Amino acid sequence: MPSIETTALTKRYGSTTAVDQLNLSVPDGTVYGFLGPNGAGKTTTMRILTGLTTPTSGSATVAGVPVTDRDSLRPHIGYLPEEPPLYEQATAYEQLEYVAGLRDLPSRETQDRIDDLLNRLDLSPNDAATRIAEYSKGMRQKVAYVQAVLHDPDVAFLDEPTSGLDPRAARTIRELIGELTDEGTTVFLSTHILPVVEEVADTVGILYDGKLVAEDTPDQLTQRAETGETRTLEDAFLELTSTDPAEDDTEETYG
Amino acid sequence: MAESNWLQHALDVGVFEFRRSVRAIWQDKARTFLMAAGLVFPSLMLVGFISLFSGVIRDIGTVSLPPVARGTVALLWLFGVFIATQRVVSARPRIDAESLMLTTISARTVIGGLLVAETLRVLAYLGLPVLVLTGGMVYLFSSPASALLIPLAAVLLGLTAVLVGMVLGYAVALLIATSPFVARHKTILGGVAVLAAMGGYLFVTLPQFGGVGQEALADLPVGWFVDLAVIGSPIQGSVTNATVIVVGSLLVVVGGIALIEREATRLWFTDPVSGEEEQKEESNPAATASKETRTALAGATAPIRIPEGISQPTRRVAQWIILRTRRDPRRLNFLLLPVVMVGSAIFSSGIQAESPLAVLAPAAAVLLPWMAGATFAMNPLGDEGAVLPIALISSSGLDYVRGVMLPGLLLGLPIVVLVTGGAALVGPFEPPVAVGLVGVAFLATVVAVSTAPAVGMWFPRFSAISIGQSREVVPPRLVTTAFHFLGVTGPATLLALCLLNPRFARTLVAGLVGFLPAALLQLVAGDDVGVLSDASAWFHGIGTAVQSVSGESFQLVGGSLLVVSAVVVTVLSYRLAVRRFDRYSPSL
Repeated sequence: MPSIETTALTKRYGSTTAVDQLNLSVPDGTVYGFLGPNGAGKTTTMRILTGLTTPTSGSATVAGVPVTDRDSLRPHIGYLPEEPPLYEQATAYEQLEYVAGLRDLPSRETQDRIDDLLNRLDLSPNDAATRIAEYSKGMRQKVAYVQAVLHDPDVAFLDEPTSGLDPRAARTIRELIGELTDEGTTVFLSTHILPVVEEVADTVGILYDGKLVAEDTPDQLTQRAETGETRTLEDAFLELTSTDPAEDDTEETYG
Repeated sequence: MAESNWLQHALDVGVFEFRRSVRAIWQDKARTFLMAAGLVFPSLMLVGFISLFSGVIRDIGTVSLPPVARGTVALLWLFGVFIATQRVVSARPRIDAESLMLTTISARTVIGGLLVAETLRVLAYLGLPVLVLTGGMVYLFSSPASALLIPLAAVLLGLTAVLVGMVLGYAVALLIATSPFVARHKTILGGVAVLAAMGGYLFVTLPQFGGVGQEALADLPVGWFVDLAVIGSPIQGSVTNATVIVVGSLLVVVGGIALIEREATRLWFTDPVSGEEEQKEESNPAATASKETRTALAGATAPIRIPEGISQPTRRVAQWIILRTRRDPRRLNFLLLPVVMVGSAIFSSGIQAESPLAVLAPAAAVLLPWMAGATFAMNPLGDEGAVLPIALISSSGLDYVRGVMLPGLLLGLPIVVLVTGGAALVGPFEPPVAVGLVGVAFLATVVAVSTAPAVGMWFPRFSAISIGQSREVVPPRLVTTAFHFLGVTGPATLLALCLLNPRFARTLVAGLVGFLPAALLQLVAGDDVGVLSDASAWFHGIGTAVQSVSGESFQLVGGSLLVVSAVVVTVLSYRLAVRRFDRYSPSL
């Protein structure tokens, strides 16, 4: 049974269609790279799949649970939104123990897991005992990541998990994502950093204007790019998300 | 359905949220001091009162609980509901770190946590006075029951007020989230609601103005908390009322939580409508007859129109300031403190006056001008935030300062003049005095509007404070607000007094510039004869000289001096603000 499955999932805001007839099927224990330019509907999709907003039509299940059944869904998911949901007045230890308590995680094991994850992300005990208000963007991102995976969720939704991280921490996050999937967690990964997707994703879906315009392995998508010998996922992305294919070369940035 | 141990989790969330509030307050030492003083001072007063009059109180013997006591408690409860409603609507319709909380625990748990946190905040305010009162009752009447029942009554009062306030608050927040009309006009509707609440408060508390008095609320069950609190003391309440209020409170808690859960769940998981939807239609060039005279900004600030004759940069600054104020009214919270403090003092004096209506027009002429100035321009540089460098390189000081002043003149001035004129008409004033009061209001508004940018630019504030979920509310500095408030309302009060009662104005000035410094210097000098004593005598002479001027002469000379000073200050402030803007170097 797929970990994430959507059928004709649609979300409209007034006259704007943010997600349009989206069909996804993400197998257990894999990494699904979810790409798309700014405003394509990625965050809306993630908010639907985490139960934070309801679809206008269509259906979706995560870990076999309909996303509209929020109470059943919560224990199965972890979510790292683009803006880390942290409390400025708390320290990392306080925040993580608080969230662990709300999820009824056993305290001794949780403590060890927190220490292990923070250590791997180069957050020292001294840092972890400092108020989050004093953290850099990267430090916040690390704590938010630990928070999202602390309870070993069945499905982890990660929105730009390496945003603001230095190369070493970014590499660690990529390794941790690999370990998550080894343990059976499915990772739904949205990022603009295409090399990260190329490295860790088993499947890549490209959303454009609310529609899924391509879905394949990174290698297969790269093969589709028609830019000569230097074919990359970025080339494929630019081709697939361009309104006018003739203008592909003029595009400089895609988010 | 909520998780099985949602109650424990709700407590955890509530305590955590409360701790965060305490930490946030603790980081602001001035705020901490003011709050501590606000708690300790009345408690000390109560301790003093109890120790001074303990003998007399004990001798009174058994008395019936007076209706005014029930009415006062009912009013306190209603006030608590109002505050709780207002806090939910304007500051906390959603929990912080919403995506985390709603993917971790149930909506019911979140609601329970918010309720616990808010109740703890209320109890933190009430705790010390309630403790003193409890100790006093036990000490005075040897009543052990009071040790339990007074705190219980306080907890139930706080809890039910918060709960009902939250029910109303979430209902209003839901309305804002689902009705485009309400979303678009929420600032105006909110203002009307606040005015209605204040009107209701005055109606109850000021029988001199035709109100009903607190006794009228004695029959409301929410006043019966006092019946519970006095059990065991010589004050005879109703045991039936006490029983009803305990049972009723429990029902309110159970029903309230269920109701808030439904409201909040709808609010948090419903896509909010935008008040700008209608706006988009209006500002769509295709939908408007004249593309040249309509812009997105003009559409967004409709129906307020900035005259076309004004230069475009000035017009745009003014439109943006109006829009910013409309969309983020929380930044205006700073207006409340001085208005409430001074407003209540003025109303108290009105109660003492022969005709209470006599106080309305002077109050309007003095207070409203300050609000007209401070509303839009008290912290112009800080309000720009990260956009300040762009504003500095995009606009000239002349255009910018004029734009900042324009909303106060276009919107504030007519309102001030109309309200003062209306109040003067219903007050016991001769037509020339009424016209004079309108003149005072006009002049004071012009001064307030022109001085606010200058003062605000000289002492800008860039650091944001957190109001609810907003991390971007940048209120003016307290010192700036106080300086501008005193600078506008002080002379305006004196000018109004020159008009209404020149002899009193003369005595006031004589006291302020002569007799008061003289008395203070004499106090410091003591019996020594020296420089201080000489200075004291000199100041006393000034006071005597001022006092010897006739009322009519003082009115003419003092009034003229104030008017001329106002014109000079207006021009200087304007030029100062322009220069400050042109030369400002942001350190961002």
